[in-house]
Amino acid sequence: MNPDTAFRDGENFQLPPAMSVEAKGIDDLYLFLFWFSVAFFVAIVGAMIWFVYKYPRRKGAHTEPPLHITKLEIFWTVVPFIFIIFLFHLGFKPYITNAIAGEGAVDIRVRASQWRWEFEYPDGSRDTELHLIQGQQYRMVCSSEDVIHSFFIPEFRMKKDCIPGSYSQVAFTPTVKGSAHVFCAEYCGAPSTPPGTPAPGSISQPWNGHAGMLTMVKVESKEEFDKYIEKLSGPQEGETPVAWGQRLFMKNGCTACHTTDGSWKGLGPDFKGLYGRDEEMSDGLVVKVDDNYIVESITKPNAKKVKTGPKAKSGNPSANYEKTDMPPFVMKQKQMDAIISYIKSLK
Amino acid sequence: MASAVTTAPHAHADHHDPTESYLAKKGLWSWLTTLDHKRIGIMYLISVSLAFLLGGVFALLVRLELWTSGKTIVEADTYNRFFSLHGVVMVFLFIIPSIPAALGNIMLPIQLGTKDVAFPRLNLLSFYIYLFGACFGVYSMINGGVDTGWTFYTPYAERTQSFVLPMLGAAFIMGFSSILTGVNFIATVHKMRAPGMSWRRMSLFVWALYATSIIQVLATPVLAITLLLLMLERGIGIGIFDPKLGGDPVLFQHFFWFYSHPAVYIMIVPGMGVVSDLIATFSRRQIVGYMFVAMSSLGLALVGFLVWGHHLFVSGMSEYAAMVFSALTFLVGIPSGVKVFNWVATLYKGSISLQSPMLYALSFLFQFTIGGLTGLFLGTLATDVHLHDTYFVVAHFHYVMVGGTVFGFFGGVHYWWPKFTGKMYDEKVAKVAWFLVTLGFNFTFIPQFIMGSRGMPRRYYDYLPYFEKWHQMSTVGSWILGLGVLVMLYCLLTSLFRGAKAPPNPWGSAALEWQTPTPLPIYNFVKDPVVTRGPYDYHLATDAELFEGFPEDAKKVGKNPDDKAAKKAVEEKDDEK
Repeated sequence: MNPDTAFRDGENFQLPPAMSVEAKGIDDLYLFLFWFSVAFFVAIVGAMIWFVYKYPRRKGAHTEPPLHITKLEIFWTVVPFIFIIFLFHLGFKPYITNAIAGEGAVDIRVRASQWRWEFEYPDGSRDTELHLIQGQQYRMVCSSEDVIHSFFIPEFRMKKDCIPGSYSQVAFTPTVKGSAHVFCAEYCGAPSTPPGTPAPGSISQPWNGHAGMLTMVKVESKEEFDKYIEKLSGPQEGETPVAWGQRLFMKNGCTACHTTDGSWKGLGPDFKGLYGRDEEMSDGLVVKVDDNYIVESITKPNAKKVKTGPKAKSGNPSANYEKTDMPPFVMKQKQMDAIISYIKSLK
Repeated sequence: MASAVTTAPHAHADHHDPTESYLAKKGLWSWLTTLDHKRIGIMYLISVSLAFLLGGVFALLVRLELWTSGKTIVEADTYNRFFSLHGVVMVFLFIIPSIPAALGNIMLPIQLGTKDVAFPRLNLLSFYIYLFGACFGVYSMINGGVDTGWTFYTPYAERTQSFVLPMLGAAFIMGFSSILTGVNFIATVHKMRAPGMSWRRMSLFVWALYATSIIQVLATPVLAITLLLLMLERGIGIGIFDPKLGGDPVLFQHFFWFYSHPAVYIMIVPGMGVVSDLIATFSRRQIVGYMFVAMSSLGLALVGFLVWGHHLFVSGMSEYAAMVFSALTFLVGIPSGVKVFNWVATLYKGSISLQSPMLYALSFLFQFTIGGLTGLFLGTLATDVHLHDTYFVVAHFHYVMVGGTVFGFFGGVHYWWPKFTGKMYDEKVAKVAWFLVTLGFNFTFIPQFIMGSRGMPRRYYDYLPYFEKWHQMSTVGSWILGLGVLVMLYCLLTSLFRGAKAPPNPWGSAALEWQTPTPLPIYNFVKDPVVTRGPYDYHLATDAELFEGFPEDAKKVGKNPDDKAAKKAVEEKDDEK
């Protein structure tokens, strides 16, 4: 993984730094369980070692008759029972509190797909990195495009599966400014053919599959966040539509499957010389690639699928477009226009 | 009691010598068609040991790949196949049949004082079903294997290009083998006990196998149904689990863990049974709270059915369902605790001999305690959210499954080896192997606890550079563990050729299986036994049993039980600590 991503120590070497309101309580519970376990372990293994040392076999010696103390048996059945009721409560309370978002929580959509994250902010702008405002409570609404993934931020002590076909939710409040990693915790496979390169600056590594489904979460001030959102949805200063389109193309992770240099190395079709070409679909229909076709391919990508085979000029025999599903993308009109301009420019 | 009317399918008209060894008849065909539970058990032992070595090779490859972050030896896709095959082979081909079908098959009828299991033909059939299932697994592996993990979670298991169908078929078929063994053992325990073998005189190993058999019979059909539905969905696209076809992927997890959590007790309970026998024999004491330990096996079997939901705490399942499953999960701690406390109490004022089987039992106690206590972190809802699907979970279940079950299996093999092979292994080499295996195991998995609580997710081909030192420690541990297993194999296998002839009761045990000649006669006992005491009644055992071995066998090999040389040899053995 990316060597320049710093990994900091928490207050305790067993745990990463705590960066959310919830993390503190969970750490206290973790450390309580740890010392509780250490005490039990020392008592049990200590007794075992002591007895082994104290009562070695001696030649011809008989052992004492069997030991049966019903009171003792009841004691070590009932006392652990009291312990577990206590431990269950300690664990349940923070769990149920963390499960429910309070009033004023901001919803962010988390969309997982093989092998990238996408976050959608309330204004509809989207990014592969997650930016959060310090002290603001959030509710993440998680979904998946393909298989099960799991949204996991160790620094928040928080994890939720992203299930295709249903939504799951998790709430938290970041408290510490800084960055942390977002991992996928539910195994989601790896590509059998090497995918393309991810967006510049992204730490995602789709060729590693599950392990490369990685991004950053950044906790920042309200002002920093507003600036970030502004930059996210529009072109940068002096940027041409083609350059902006290329940036969106990278940012949305299109390069994970699509190549643009005519090399046909990705899981999906290559885009060099695509615009204006006649493409044969899997059902035999021939489509001329124009603006409307591109829009449809982005918003309803699996409506028409390019035929695999010599007609597709695929340099990648192990890719099968008909069997590969692309997730749909929703974007603003301006952004769509920029991407079309970019694809048009690939000659 | 019905033991006298045991059917004897392997009886021949010309077979008269009741002391003839069950190993006497030579030839592959006589093995492949045998109905003798001991021979079937040995064929199982060879098969599961081969599966263990194969699964172990995959484990070493996984650890080697994780030596560096990024690529070390293979690409991500191949790595995913390695860890999936490690899991599938270890769970379905090794650990589920390991103790019940191999050691249980050999020892259960002898411990009950009977000639064979209730249905010897069914027993052989279950072995061939296991082999048939294993063939499907091997067929899948030759074609590249699977990359789904051993859990086959949907919808990934339906989308992957890897060879999933034959592997599901393998697990499906082997389930029937498991069910048949379970049925056979339940019938044997109920109907085949020797005269005088009351329920209270059964060994705790038999109690454990009995509890295990109940789970096998009740839970395995659910796995069969689940895998069949998955096969149908992958094969012809019925909509059960795949959301694209209107199915629910989390339903698969419920179905899968409804079997696979009880299966955890199919794995660990027999190991606990072995350890109970080991601790009694090598402390020469009755297990403290015998009935509590016996009932705790049944308790685990029962509670084990009610806790599957703790694998789904972060799956989007209702928070209230999670609450119920968390509470029920904690209940598992009670019978497990009862066992551990009673084992430790048995050592108190015992006569403890640290021979190799006992060393494995003590390692079991040490490691199972860690495995059990770390389970508290995962049953506790709030901490599980952080630790779920991290290396903490990997370390936790390896401490239970390997540190517990596999060490119980090793201990049991060393313990009963002289009885079923008739040979003694080199105790010094066996101790070296124990040391390496215990050291290697702990070295492998303690770093994984720390990686897990620091947030390293499991099933990762690549990782943050921070984790490299922990991964490398773990990999070095896996090499020590691998070396230990090789030394153990060397020790046991060379004993077959060079080992001294085993006396009938080398450990001075009061249990029934040691009161019969070595090597075992075809019908297990020279005369049908009448049981007058329990397996751990050391206060009722004679000095001859405890200090000299079995007198009758001494006569058979032409030695007088009062022979001074023989007596001295036994005493010298006793002196070894």
